[in-house]
Amino acid sequence: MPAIGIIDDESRYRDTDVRNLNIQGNLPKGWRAIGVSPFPTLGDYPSWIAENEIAVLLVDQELGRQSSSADGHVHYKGHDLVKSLRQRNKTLPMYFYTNYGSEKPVTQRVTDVEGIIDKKVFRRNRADWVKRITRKGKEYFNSVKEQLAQLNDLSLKIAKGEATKEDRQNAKAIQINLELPLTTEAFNDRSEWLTRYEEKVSEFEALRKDIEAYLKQNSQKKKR
Amino acid sequence: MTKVFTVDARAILTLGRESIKDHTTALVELVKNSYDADATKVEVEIYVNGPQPYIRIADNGSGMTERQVETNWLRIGYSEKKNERLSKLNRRKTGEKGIGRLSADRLGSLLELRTKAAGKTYGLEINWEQFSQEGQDLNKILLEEISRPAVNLPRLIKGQASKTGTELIIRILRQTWTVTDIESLSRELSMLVSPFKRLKDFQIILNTDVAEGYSGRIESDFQEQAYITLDAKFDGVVNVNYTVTIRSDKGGRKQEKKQEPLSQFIPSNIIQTSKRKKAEDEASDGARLSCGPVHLILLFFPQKSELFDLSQLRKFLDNNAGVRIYRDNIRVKPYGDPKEVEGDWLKLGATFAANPAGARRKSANIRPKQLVGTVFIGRDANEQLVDSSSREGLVHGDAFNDLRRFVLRCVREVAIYHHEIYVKENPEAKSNVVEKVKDLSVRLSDIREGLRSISPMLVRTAEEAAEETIENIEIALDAIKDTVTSLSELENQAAIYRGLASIGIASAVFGHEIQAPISGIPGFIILAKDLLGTDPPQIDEAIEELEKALEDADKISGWGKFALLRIRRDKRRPKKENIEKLTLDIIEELRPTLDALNIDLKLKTEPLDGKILPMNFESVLINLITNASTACRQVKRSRHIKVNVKKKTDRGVRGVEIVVSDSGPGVAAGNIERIWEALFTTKTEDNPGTGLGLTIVNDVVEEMRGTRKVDRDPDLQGARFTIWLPLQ
Repeated sequence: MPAIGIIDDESRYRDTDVRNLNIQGNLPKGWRAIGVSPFPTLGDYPSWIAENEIAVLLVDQELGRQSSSADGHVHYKGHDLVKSLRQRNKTLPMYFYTNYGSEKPVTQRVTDVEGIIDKKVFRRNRADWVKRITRKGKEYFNSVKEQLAQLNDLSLKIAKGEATKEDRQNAKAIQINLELPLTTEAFNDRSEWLTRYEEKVSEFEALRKDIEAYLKQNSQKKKR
Repeated sequence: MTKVFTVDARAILTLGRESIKDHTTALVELVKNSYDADATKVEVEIYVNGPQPYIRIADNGSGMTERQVETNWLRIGYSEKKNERLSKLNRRKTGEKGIGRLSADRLGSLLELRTKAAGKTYGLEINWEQFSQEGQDLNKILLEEISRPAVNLPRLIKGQASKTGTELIIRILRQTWTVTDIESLSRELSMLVSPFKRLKDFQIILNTDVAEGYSGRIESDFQEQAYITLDAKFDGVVNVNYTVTIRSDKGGRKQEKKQEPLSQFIPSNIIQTSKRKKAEDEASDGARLSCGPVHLILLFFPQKSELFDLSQLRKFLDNNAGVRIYRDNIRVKPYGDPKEVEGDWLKLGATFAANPAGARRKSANIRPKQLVGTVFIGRDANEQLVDSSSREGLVHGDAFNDLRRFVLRCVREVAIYHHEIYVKENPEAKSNVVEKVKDLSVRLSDIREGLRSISPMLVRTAEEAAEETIENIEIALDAIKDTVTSLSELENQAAIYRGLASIGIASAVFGHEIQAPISGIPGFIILAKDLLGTDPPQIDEAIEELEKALEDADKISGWGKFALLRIRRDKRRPKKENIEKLTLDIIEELRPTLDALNIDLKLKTEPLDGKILPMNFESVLINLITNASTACRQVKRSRHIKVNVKKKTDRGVRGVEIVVSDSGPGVAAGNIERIWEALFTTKTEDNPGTGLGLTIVNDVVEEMRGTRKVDRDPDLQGARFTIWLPLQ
């Protein structure tokens, strides 16, 4: 289920925005809104985005005014977060969601986002903005779903040993795009996997024999 | 038909013997030639008491081949220094006219020149008396070569024999040498050597039987003569220990020793640095220097005739000004070389040109020519400071930039001391205009009274003149009285502008906290509407949203009230005020904004009344709190501000003390005076400051003849501002 994610340190406004969006009829069918306080580090966001199926992200600029966790206030700003996320994910739709859209750090990052949304304007013209951002989000979400389905097919082929070199490359490309761990390169084909499996079994067998010999030797010494 | 110039042999005497002031100067010229030849050691011997008095000057410089003697040394007027102003060791060559070598004639009639270069020795003997014959052409006088000359050269720094160098032996001395001559020579030679005793890149060893007390290595005493000396050591990790020695006009010395953690000496949010370094510094909660341990000595020489013989000082600075780097006591070029672009690696020249304010200004900078400095580093201890591949200088990466930061910070410290000494010695620099005008009025009144008292004793014509003068003085006094009134009005107006500016500054800093409710209220109301429109209506939730809207509306109106109250008419005139209530009102008005920023403010006051211009008091308090709130947001720890307002008597005057502390990064020692300057700000793009708040505080303090101080709060670890204002 695709979601609009809102990152804002001020829970009073964030919770109202989320609640507003989640009222029946305010979002397209199948959509939901979810808000969160800024995480302690920039590296914490990708997993949250993936787990919650965030299809479009609204990022406040001033994230350090209020603290919500034992870690205290964060010291990065919205533009830092946008930059960090964009380095990892080239296609996730993101917007600055702020009262200070004309500030230099925000305008300098404008090419990394779909746009800058003034909070006041958004709240007053919610319906128009929802249409716009969910359209972007839908394109992204569908593309991700499609890629996941492709990856699924390719993974099956690899497991059966039927994948071509091109298939493996495509699978790798999708994993990189979706920031998934690379697993398809571990073995080039099934026979190699089997060979290594058999080697391991032989190693265990040899070890078992050594242990048995050792125990036998020890017990003979004791008898003497 | 063509003609040519011919040169009479006597021209040599005109250029040499007769144009050199005295034999001391002549000898110094020859030693300078050794310096220009990149010698690291020069031996000067003056032996006059034996059967064959002589002077010997020997160096381990570059020496000359026979060809070089012929084409350069023997060519009068030729100076390679004209085309190559710097030697191979990048020494600024001292002579250019090509006649310094003729100084030898001033010292004695006979000269033996022995020189070694390219594995060969060459010698020449010159009898200067040959050149005094009338009517002889210069190029007809033949000079005898010395067959298989043995040359005795000083050893190199590490003790090995030198393969190049020049030895001059002068005999049949023209003048006797006295103790006074040797003393003068020793002093002149000391201008050529480094004031730092541990450096040995140019040594002069004097040996003489005239005054044996002067025999030995020539040393400069300029290190002791410096007006301000800063000796700083950074241990490479955490601490900076430094000693500042100040020399007074009366010859005494005062010393201050300090130790500061690096994060306070150079806070990471002050000095411009690369983003990567900034991120590293922020991760480690303060500045780090990657250059390794550093020992730095700076000597400051202002042009003060009461302290220095200015002509001697100029000579000394010509050879030694600049901040040089020595690695394992070997000079690292070109740092500190006066004419090289890279020589002024600290950009002191450009900084001074951008702001040539004198010492009376807090922001005064130091001229490059006023500073002699040495940075001591080591190859092993400072392995991050690596040689540049061009074989000259160091790689200008993070480590070098860190070294530069440290040295600049130390230079700043010297400038601050200079300013503080100036202000202490010139208290009138701090008086305000009104005080000065009042002072003038008093003096004129004294003159008027004086004239009145002598008027009856004057003869008629003089009495009339005196009366006219008295009348003119009275007109001047009236004008002064009007001026004082106008100035007082201006001061009042200035107070109003400061009050308005303080509101503006607070708005700029807390602006977001007002903008958020302005944009938030529509959201709450729209949600409330939607909640009431659901089936069934969600009434409780709607009420919750409407209450949030009301809270925000209160915030907005509170801010409006704050702004309007500041400029009320009754704030604009001095009157008896309940200082405690003034304080409580301001804190109450600012508290919601501070709460929105998670800043915890603790207030301590006591009952206190007094006559004061309310706008002045409020300007100080608001700006200090605004400044504190910005500071709190610059560090990761939890945000606290402490405010303490209490009565205090200072110098017999009743007053109020305002202390505001914060949990921010504190104020670096080097910025303690600069923070009061207009537009100086330590804030960054992420946490912008206007650079005006503390200037306003300073203006109020100065106008009211109050006091101000800033130090570190021991509990909150941030800055602690203590302001005292008199109550009338």
